Amino acid sequence: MTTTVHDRDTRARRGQRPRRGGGPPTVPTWRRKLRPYLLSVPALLITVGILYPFVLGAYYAFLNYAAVRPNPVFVGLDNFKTVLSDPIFWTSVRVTAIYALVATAVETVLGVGIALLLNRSSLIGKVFERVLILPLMIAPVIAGVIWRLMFNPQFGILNHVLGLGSTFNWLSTKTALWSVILVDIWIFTPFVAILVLAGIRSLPKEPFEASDVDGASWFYQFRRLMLPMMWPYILVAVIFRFMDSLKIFDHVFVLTAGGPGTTTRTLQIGAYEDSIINLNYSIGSTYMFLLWALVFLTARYLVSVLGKAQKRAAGSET
Amino acid sequence: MNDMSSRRLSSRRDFLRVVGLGGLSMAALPALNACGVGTGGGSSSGGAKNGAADVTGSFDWKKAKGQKIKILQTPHPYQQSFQPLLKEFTAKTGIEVTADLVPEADYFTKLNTELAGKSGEHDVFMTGAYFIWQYGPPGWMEDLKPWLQNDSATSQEYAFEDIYEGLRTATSWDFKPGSPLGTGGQWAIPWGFETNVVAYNKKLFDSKGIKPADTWDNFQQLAIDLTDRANNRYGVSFRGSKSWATIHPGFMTQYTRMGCKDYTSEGGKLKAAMNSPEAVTFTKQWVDLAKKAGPTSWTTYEYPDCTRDLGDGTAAMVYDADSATYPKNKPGASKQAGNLAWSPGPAGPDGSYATNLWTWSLAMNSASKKKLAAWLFIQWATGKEAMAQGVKQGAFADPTRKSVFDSAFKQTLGAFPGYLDTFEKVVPETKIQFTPQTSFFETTEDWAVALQDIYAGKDAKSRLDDLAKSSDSKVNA
Amino acid sequence: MATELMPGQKRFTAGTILADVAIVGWFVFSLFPIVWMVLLSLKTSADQTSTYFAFSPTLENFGTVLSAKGEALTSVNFSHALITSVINCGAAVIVSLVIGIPAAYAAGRWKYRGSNDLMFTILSFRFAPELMVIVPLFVIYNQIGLFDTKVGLIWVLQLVTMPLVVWILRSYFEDMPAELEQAALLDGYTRRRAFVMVALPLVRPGIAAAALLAFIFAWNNYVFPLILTGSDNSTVTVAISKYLGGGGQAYYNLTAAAAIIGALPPLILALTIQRYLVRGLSFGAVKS
Repeated sequence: MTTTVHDRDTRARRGQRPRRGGGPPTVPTWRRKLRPYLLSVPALLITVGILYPFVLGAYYAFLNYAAVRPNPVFVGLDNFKTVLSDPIFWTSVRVTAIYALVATAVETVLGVGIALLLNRSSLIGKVFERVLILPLMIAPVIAGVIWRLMFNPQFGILNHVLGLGSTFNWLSTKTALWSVILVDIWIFTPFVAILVLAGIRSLPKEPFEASDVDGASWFYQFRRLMLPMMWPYILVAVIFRFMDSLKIFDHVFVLTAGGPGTTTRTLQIGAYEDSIINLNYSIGSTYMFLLWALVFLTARYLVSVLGKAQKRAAGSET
Repeated sequence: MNDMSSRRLSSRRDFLRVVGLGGLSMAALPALNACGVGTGGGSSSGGAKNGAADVTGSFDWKKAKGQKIKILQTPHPYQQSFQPLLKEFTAKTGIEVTADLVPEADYFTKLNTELAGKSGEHDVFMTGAYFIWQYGPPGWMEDLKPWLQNDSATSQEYAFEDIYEGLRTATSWDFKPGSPLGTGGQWAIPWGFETNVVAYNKKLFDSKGIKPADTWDNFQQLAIDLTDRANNRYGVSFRGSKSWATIHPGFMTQYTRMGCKDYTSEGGKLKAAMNSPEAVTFTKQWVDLAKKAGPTSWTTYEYPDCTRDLGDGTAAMVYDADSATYPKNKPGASKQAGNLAWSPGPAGPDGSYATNLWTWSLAMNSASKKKLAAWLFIQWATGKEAMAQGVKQGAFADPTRKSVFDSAFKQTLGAFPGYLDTFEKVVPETKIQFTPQTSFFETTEDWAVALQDIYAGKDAKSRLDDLAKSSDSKVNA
Repeated sequence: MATELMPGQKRFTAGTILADVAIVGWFVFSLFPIVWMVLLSLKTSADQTSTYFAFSPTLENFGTVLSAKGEALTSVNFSHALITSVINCGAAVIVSLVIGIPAAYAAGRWKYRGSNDLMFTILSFRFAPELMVIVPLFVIYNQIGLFDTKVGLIWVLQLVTMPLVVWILRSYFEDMPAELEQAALLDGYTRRRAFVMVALPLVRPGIAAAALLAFIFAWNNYVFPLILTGSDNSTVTVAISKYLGGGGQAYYNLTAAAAIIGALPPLILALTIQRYLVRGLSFGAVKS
């Protein structure tokens, strides 16, 4: 990009004071200090707006609000005691944790791999890059319906094409969790890939050119240069995927409703059962409060990891 | 700040944040309660005042002329049969109707949220009997008994008793545990209903020279004999998904026929009975049948899956609602259209044809601001004329009025072999076989989960014992 | 990154071929369900679950979805829902960009005190399970009259779009070398002009990626429009799911057709924006 130089005459024409010494425009210190906050105020306002219903939702967890008790009273931590001592809750925690960890890990590895593969200037890569995003175009709810039809042992296309016959059940007690994770991978790997690809493409060229001159191999470049600089972008994708998968609901519910038994009963599905099916809003809210706390704490951890990665990335650029 | 202390500091801040949110919400209580926010402004009486008494004067269809009402429905042959008739209602009464459709999977999410929020957005909504047991106690539904009894609001020709008795009692309860159905207020008017029977592929049966089985043992054997996995065919399709709806149709019907009960009543308290010896035997047989002669992914099957397999020719029989399989026999509706027939299913050991029913009924939102208009709509839709016209559209199975069934509906049944005989055989013993209780959905879904667990290999007796224990505490809470 | 090739030079190594195979492998997995869905949308009701690849295709499903027949089945005017969704999601993304870019810039360029906290708070929008806020939101929206309005939905969608925009862009702003902006300032630009003329173009790929992804997530959002809109402002995703119906007739073929039509606006956006996702303006213009 070329920067146009403005000369004294142009500046005078615009009515700007010609600057002595050519330094940057001076601005009072207090304004300069306040500027970042001013820029962030609108975002903050939106936060506050959303906070209110959220606090309200959390508030239900401290009542005994259910359809059969339309005038609830405050019950303190009773709901928490009930939920935390319910083995089904802990099963849901386990299911959710496995789901989130496996899905995010696989999607990250695949996403980074795809981004790297697409980054080469190959013809196939260029063609497929256009269609990378397609699975994301299908809402998870609809994707759940489509996959459910594909999984059906009697007429589903998968058993037909893969030759598995009409007795292989993708959604049995042993296989259901892995199948719903598979669908998650199908939908969301492109998300990771796109983020990482855009990040790769904005990395500065000089470090790579310099190491090419030094005769470094691709692997060395990747490990020492690319990866550290890419980490922040990868981590942003990981943070979003991990948090979203802790809250997963849409396609899992369509595929299995949380079954068979409790094998795919994620935390938000458990909350749904309590709030919407059993009309026990307070227990549902308790579930969700705990889910929120779980997401909050893991995000905190991941963000601090991100911070460290950013420091390292900045360092490796010099 | 070095790493260690900053980490400790941030984790302390997190802990404070989480606790702080809890504290903030608790502190917000009084303020929020005062605004009546969140719990939807719950009043002490638990519901809005009944509007029937406000209607006076002589009856007139145009009494609420000019008003607009909104109705909430789920896509269904009943709803589709009535869609073209809505403009006739407007012509008759001067009331405009906007119908909102929500797919069945999300219907109750939307409905529950709306009722809990008491917004009064929809004046009339479709509902089933079991939902009354949950929507009634908080006062979300308008009691329609005073409306029926008010001559200013109800036409002389309405004839409420023309509706089958089992249906009228199914939608009436006083919400006291141990009280049978039929006591208390009238919470919805039955609009369409279904009995649960066996639909089968007559062409297949005729080609093999067999007839539907009449005893439970024969039925199981027949289903197993008809199963041919190598050729992707299986004997009988019934629901197995993680939902109360898995217990409700075929299972509950045959269960009752075999003499089992869900709860017994002992001195005002309910005692769970799904682990009685007969119940355990039957449950084991039912689940085994699913394994040997049912769909491979049985634990995901809902009724559209069952009827689809019948229509495609993959399933030889379906044990589910008659109205669900009815549309599949219409020309062009499915591959097996024209080849289907109906039978009552196997009788119990003492000849019982007890059958469970489902009724889609129309109910009024107690927070509605246009109750008279809403009532006129309900009255019209469940009246003789409109129902007969709905039936003529060809997809309305089964109408809830005896007079309409005997006339308009019977005439459509020519192309549906066995349908009428089956209906007449089971209808005297058709009612809601469940014991009414306000934790119906939770406990019945638990029951479905128990079936899934047994399907996965758990021991039936101990699993059902666990179920009975947890149901006992939930039901009598 | 691969070293630049001389024009006309093609490198065929085992690595390249393996890489191509891997890419093709992913895309077979990725596109197969989409192809199947397209096939499904071309089937008649009787064929939808009883045929695999051999059937007589028909375009009538698309016609049904866009016509009054579709409206009779779902109570939603599909074209109307499409337009509503475009307005809602477009506006939501624009609002997020207008509000989020300055915040991301402030946090990325200057790591001022509290920037991490603010960033984390914005991220925490996404923590809230949707079901947790849905009942209170429903009640509040009814009370303040935002139920079934575009504004109401645009505001709620900020929960989905703002964190994405802010967090993606913060990384880009952090990476952006400060020297370029300093150079512009030295040349006499005001801070704001420096931002618009230097910083923004440098982070174009980030803006493109963030806007596209935020739009898609907003477009696919299901629970909020389901509960917070009525018949007037139904969005596309809700409209599509209505074909799944009830009462025994699940129109998978119509659902597939509707889903394909519903995927077109985000797809068009993706295709137009993709050229901004290519290699960003070279940072190499500055000699450090």
